[in-house]
Amino acid sequence: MEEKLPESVDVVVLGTGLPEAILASACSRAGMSVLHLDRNEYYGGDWSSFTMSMVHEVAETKESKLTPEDVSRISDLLQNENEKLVELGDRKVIDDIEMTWQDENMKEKLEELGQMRRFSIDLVPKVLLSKGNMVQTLCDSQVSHYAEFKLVNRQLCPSESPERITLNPVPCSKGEIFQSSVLTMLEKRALMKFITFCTHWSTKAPEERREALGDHVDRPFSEFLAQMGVSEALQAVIIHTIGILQTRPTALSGMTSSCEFMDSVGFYGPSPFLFPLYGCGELSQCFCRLAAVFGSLYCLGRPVQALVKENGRITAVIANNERINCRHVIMSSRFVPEDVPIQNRLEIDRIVFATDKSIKEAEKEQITLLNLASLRPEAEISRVIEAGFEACTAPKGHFLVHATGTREGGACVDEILERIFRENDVHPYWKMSFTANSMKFDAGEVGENVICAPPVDANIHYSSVIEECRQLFCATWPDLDFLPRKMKKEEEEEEEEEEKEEDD
Amino acid sequence: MAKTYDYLFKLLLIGDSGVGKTCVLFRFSDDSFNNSFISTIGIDFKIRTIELDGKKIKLQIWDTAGQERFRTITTAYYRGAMGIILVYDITNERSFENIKNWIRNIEEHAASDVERMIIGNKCDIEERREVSRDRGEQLAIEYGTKFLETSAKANLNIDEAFFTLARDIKSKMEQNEMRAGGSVSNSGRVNVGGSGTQKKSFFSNWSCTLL
Repeated sequence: MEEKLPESVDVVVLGTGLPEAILASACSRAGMSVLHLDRNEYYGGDWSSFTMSMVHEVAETKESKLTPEDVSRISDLLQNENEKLVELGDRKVIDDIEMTWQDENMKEKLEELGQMRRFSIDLVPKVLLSKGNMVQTLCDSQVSHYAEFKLVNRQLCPSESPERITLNPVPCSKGEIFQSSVLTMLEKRALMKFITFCTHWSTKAPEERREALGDHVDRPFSEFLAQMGVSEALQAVIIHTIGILQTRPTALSGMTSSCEFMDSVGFYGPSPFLFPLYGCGELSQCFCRLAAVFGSLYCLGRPVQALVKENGRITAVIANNERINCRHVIMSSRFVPEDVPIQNRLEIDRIVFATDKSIKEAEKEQITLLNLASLRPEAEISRVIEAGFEACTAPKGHFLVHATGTREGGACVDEILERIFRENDVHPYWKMSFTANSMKFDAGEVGENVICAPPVDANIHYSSVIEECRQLFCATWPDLDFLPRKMKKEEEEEEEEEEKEEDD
Repeated sequence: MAKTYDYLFKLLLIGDSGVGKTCVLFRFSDDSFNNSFISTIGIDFKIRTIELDGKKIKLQIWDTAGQERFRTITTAYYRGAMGIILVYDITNERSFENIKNWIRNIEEHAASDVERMIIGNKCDIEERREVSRDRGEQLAIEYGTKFLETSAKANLNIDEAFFTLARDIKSKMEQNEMRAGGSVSNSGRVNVGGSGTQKKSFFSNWSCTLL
């Protein structure tokens, strides 16, 4: 005996990726009744993390096309002749998946030791900016209760010679700047001057900010730095450090990123970035948990078949051969009906390697961010995140190395990475590559009361995802708050009191 | 000021919908009982601090938030759990049979050394019993866990269940402390949203020195 889905809810959410999870939690938090569905058995959709033993599931395509029998069966669920069925899509967001074991012995060894499930392989690896709006939302909504983080404690930027690519640590904190061997004394002084300038600049209003940069405002950041007396070597360090936030900065975007970066440095530690333990897929699950706590109903691994459309509005969703009436539908790009044109498309190259040695060995295991922009100047995005046991994403002594890149220009991001492996005597034993298709749609084409959740993206952090979700929510429900601060219960207050006492 | 507890244990309640997980939780944390069945809404976790052998142990007990209804418990729910109480309803054969599935779920997602315990709830309703005490005990033996029959309504064995589990976790922990553990280092974990963890921003730091 299987439980039935509800007959009617305020909102049906299709897909359990991060943006859908955020929106589902915001809706349930605001008091709406929510049914959250996914065709997959697992949470996270195209934003999921997989263990090594489950990762093949990402490549498995379940047949979701409706057969004529399906159509005739679910057509019985239509209630009047104005209603028509709209078949839901099954768009390939994650595509061209290839997985290979480059060392079968390692596979056997890991299987024998039962360590395959200790991996957490992200489809969309990102970091959190300590003072960014994702962290703010996590704190306000108390979704932070469900997740743990560690600092990205090493940032590297490469310099290339014909013989080898050297991975230089990027100084983040004051201490690191003074200890840095990359910079001369004069350059350190110039850097301090630049930071002081940023401090003042960041307090200004937007218009004054533009004015303060004069004619340079929309010109390259490097020119602006040069006229401030910043040497080329130091320019490179600054541009590469913030380059993880802004690839080809103008004076304005460069200054904005510098301030963003420095603002987050020192908030939780010397690095401005946090990485979620057990991988980025955890975040979707954490928002789903919040949604569930506020009454959202979850049903995964069932067919999600069609929409019922009447006079331009979606009146119901058909899933598991049941009809669920609803006022609104939120969907990930995967579910957008096939005949709706793609407004905007970005193809993101993703490569994941599993290794048993870090790309740059250190005494203590690190979580590493490597910006490859200088080696692929034409490309918008090329970066690497390396995380292992300390981030709970691999067994002890093992690492997952995630490369993310867009296609412009010559060498692929994995070619550069493989060169770095060769030169540092790292032998990856497993490789997965795929394309992530970031597709945008006009939700109005699907129905007046439809929200298309933001697609997967190649941004380094979550600021744009959370901001887009907030805007979509506020545009649809202007009278409701987006994930407001939780009302404190007595118990929690007590607990916080205790925590405070401990800190004293 | 001294810490208000010596240990903090994260415990989970798992089992089919309607077996009384939330009632067990409320009986233990608030000593209250509500007879009407409402699917759990708004309950995240409850806290009760107990004392064992002179040590104060803060138990943080998490509810499933209704995600068990379609077997869609997030794997994140299992992270960091030190003890799990598997609950079935003695008046519901199916909930008992499903314990095996829940154990499989735990083995897949929870830490391998998590302490487990099985409880058969609603033992006050003897006239509608479908699962004998004997079968409950057999199942517990099969999986090497402790077993109790409980009633959240009649307040039978609820405290015992939590105290037993807490004691098992505590002794395991003390053993592990003696041996050096090989687990992921706790150092460097950032408590986002906790009070008092934030340090000064880079800017304020610089302004102090430079302005």
